[in-house]
Amino acid sequence: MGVISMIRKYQNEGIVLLALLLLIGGFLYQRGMERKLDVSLEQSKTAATEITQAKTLQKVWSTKGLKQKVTALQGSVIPSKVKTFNLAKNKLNAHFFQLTGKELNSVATRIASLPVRIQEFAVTRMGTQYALRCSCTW
Amino acid sequence: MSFLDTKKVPLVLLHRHIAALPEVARYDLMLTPQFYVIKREVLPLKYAFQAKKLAPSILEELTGEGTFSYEAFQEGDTWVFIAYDLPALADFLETKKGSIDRVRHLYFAEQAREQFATPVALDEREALTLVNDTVTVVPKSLLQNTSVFSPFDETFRPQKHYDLKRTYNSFLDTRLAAALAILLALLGLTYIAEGYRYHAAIATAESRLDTLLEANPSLRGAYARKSILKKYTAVNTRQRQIRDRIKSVSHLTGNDTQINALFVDTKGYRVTLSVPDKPKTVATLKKLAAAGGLEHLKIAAGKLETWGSFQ
Repeated sequence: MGVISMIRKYQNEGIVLLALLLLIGGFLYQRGMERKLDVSLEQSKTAATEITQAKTLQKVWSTKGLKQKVTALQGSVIPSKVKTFNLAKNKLNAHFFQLTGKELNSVATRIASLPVRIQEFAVTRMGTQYALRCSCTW
Repeated sequence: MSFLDTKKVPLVLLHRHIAALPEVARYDLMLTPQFYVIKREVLPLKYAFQAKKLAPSILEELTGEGTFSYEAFQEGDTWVFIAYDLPALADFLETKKGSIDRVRHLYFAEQAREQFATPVALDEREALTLVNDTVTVVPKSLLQNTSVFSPFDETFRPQKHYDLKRTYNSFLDTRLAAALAILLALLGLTYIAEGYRYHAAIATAESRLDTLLEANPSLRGAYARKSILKKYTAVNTRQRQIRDRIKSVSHLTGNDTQINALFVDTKGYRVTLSVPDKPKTVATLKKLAAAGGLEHLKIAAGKLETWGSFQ
């Protein structure tokens, strides 16, 4: 009876206290959800950016059909100017010589446009002609 | 429902010398004038709540110190105003091993005025009867016929009852508490609604991410994504640097300037060009080299040297 009596006597304060608890609970819930939303949005944004970047990079540096394109390099100059053209599974060692300035530009541009990993690229002038040595992987 | 309860809950005529209160969970109290003050006024009022509002000012002269509660009811053209001290009543009930919390309904003897035309004995010395048409506690000795007393029973129960304002000890007024509670609860509900909105937004964001991950199952894991990114970013950066340097050097060449030697690998570059000794050409080459991001530059004796390393 004592507790019930107490509750009845202070029911006004009790009601306000309950409403206050509701307010505090609601506030904490709202803040918690807000923080969770921030984290969730940040995670989504990061994941989306990472996926887009990874897909783009994968596409750029894709090795699909690359070997054929690399092989085609050999035909960009006349065979007599190809000193070596060692094509392995995923590696190329090429040496071109007696190239004119125009030929050098052509071969260099072709190599640079291929999504290969250039390990070494060397040009040497001999008189009016050039030698090009290139090593690349993929 | 109350008529059912009436049968179960006893009606107690409360007076100062009552021996004991019934030991039941609930009882109704009819107060004798020992617990209230009364005043009759003829007022052109229509509703009881209007009269109740006026009661404190009408009974001001009769009420002394104390926390009074007020009631008012109508008898023909006359309004009956009553004031009673609830905390004092509660204290009195405690002395009789009762409790205000056991009181269900409250009545005033004045409400059953007609029944008290025949006196009702309160104890050996006092009785309750009408004096000047008002229910009053009188000594039995003043009554002419002391042998005729009406027994107090359920027939005295008036139709209208009053409920106790149990919150008389509260620090907060009921209206203020209700207003405050509504305000706080509304604010709380607003927060909850906003929180739920965020909750829905989280679900949408997670759903979008799931769709994206389902479309790219190989990139589902964050570790796998980061690993792929790390691998390809390093390759992409370095290979772009290599190609940029080759391109920058190609911009330096022309009719007057030719490459003597160019060497680029994954660590850095070194280039030698033959250039004419013309100040204008040298100035142009310097500008082009700076624009192309070539780090170190040395031009002397018809020779341009530039070198650098990749970060």
